[in-house]
Amino acid sequence: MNFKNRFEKIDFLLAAAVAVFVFLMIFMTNGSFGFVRDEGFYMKAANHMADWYESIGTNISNGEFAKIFSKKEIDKYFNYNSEHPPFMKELFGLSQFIFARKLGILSAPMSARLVAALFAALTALMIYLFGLFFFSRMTAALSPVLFFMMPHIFFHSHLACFDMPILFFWSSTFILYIICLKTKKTSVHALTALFFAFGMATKHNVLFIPIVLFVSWLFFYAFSYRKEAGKGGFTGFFKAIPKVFWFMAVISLPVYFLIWPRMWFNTFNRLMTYAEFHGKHVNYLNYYFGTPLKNGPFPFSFPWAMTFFTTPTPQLVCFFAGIFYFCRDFLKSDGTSEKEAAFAMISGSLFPIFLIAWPSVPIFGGIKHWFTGYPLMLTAGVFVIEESVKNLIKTDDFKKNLVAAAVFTLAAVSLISPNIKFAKRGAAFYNELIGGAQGAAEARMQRNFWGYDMIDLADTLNREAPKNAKLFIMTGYEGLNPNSFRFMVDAGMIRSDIKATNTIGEADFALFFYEKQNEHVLNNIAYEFGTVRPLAVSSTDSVFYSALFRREK
Amino acid sequence: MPRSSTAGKYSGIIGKIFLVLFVFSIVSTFVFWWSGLSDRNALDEGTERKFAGILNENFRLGDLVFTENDWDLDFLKYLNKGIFPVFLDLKNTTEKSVAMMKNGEERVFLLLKSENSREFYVKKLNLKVLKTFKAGRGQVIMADTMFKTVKRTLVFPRDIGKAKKVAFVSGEKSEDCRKVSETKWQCSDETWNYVGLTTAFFNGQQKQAVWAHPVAGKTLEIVFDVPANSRKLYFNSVFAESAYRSKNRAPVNVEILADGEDLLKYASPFTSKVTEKNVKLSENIKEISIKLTVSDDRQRHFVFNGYLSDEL
Repeated sequence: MNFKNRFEKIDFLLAAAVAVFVFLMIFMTNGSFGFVRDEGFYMKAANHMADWYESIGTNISNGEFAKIFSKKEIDKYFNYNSEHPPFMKELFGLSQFIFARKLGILSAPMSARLVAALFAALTALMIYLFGLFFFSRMTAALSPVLFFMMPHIFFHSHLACFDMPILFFWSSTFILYIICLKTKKTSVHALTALFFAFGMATKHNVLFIPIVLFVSWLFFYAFSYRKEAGKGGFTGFFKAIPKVFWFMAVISLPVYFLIWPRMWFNTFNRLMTYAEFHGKHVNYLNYYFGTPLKNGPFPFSFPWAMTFFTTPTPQLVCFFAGIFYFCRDFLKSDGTSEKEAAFAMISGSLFPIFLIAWPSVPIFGGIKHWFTGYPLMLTAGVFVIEESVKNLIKTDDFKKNLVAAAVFTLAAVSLISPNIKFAKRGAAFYNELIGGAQGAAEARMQRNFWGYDMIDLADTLNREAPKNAKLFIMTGYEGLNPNSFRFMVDAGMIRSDIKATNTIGEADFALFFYEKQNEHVLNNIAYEFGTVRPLAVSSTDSVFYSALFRREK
Repeated sequence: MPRSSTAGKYSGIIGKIFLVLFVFSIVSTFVFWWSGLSDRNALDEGTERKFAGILNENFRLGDLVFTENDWDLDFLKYLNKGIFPVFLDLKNTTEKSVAMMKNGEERVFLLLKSENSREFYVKKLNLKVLKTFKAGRGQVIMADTMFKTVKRTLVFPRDIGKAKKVAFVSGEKSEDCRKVSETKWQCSDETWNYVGLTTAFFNGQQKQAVWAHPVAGKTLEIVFDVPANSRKLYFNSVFAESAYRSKNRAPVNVEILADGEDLLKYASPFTSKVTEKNVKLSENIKEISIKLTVSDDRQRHFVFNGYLSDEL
């Protein structure tokens, strides 16, 4: 992989077009998805953040500057959901403060999803730049399109969660690291550390980055770098360490703590609590080929097979081609830094999958916990396909480009149908290699995740429910989070007089989110309501995901 | 310029292989997602309506319905009310589990996608077919189980409405629960505070059970008259949902008395596994009393099932 800084005028246009298109596609379809379990927590945290911004204004006008960052004040606004760093929640809250509270042009939940759409646009921009700087302009323009035409990615891009932002920071940090290796510019080293800091303040996934990169650098140091002049011996070793690792200490850590004020107080204890929460994270039960994965050790194949079956096949081929490209680069490159860059790309792409594949690591749900490296291998794979097409055409460059563009256009057109089918439930997408939704259901795979899938039922509920009706939302069974329900009311998706309950006995209506492990809830509803006949069903390709029931006794 | 991915003999060949795979993936995406192949195994509406029609005409209270297909449930939309339970796990169901789900003479309905699987399930579940219905492209089997089970004189989930007494007792004071239906006793305004029919997973099998959430400081007492010829008690209990993972480690203490004499006593262990007990009954027992206590009642989602049989 050769780095070439060649951003030209046309790239402003192309990059802006790609980013704006992705932003609009995501933001304009925000009402297509219910709110997932995690959004319920993060949107509530965003409320606290918006309150904090309000209180800052009040404190400033009262001249009480010291109060703003007092322990009491910080704990008041930052203690909720303290098991996750606050950067995204601060942004969700800021967006709510501006667009919901001050301007009044968005509901509070949709103001949080605005931030998600912005990160989707940034991700598109990142992929464009990665493609442009390391591959070709065509790869740069096509890769974001293919990336967002993966139903799981399209789905997650809408959510006011940390998964797409952490994908952005994970991939960006790896890309910037290899630019460090290529350019040796101090400013790029500093920028890499800054991105890493924001990544740390977003989600803990990125904490593995310095470990992965430093261990890999040590390997290359031991075999090659130490032989360079002035890099041997004890002092030479420290001199040889790339600046980015020093910057991770002197830039990343201070920025990280600056973003997370709660860590200014009782720092050690709070960091330990944070580490303990993730070190002892519970496993979420997943059905995997008919086996309920409850307790470890979990099958090593799980994230690999899930990636294999949940990625549309054109992009899946690109993944393989991308890894092939990086491996080839690693083996064939002459320079050590080229080899290290290729190895960093392999690590950036596959380490997240390896991590979840480790049998003792809990399975947290769908693919979102390991898709952080997808942009890297997808982009490289698009370049492999592009080049292979061009090599087949023995005419001028214009025709080569035309044929390559036609092939990718065909791929994009083919992907329209699955994307429309799963437009409301991207987390439930399975590709044709397992037989689509029906094949996955027959194979007893987990059908969907995080209890959000009720948009198809909302119209019927709003139309049929009498005033002040109570709705069983199935919390505790991968159902709807009560906070998510509340925000769906705030967003106008559910009538405001309808109340949520987690007790079937007192409900007038009931939501049933299907998962194999929750089948019995269907009959519990039937015993209580006197019927198993649904009022409305949400399904794709006849596979049912959720249903709405009305009490008939 | 970027390094070519297809330079070199082998890279060129591998690049072509990826290109072929990519083109093939486009074709397969078109064929699978645009041609209706992705929806190829769905039940047609005619079959769904037939499934529902047959059940609407033949289903009797207590019968059990099993579907071969657990993902296309549109037939539910055409069912009359009162037709349940519907079990979606025919694939994993065994001869014994079907027989044990039955409380008496109830029949079993199998909704099959086609007649091809008929012989397989009839043989696997050891069924005596009472009637076969053609239902569009599918088939409905009405059957009885051949698995030899003891005759059940009293079944706790089925007969919970026949309990002689359901009450929370504290010292001399007894607060009776109010019978609100044939399957439910409401014990306070708290919606969870009832004794009644539910379903729960018993070692991976969905079964009918009695929800009996105890309350700290009180004894939940459920008393049944014992039918004649009852010779043996079978009693199974488990924590429903994920209650066994609760930080509250207080066990539910189970005490069963026959005519006031101790019959069975244990503290529920903290696992997701079922506690299975059975004990012989003396002759001419008149009354059986189930007493449940707990020191901390948070997340004690306790359920039990079981029965009295006429055989030892």
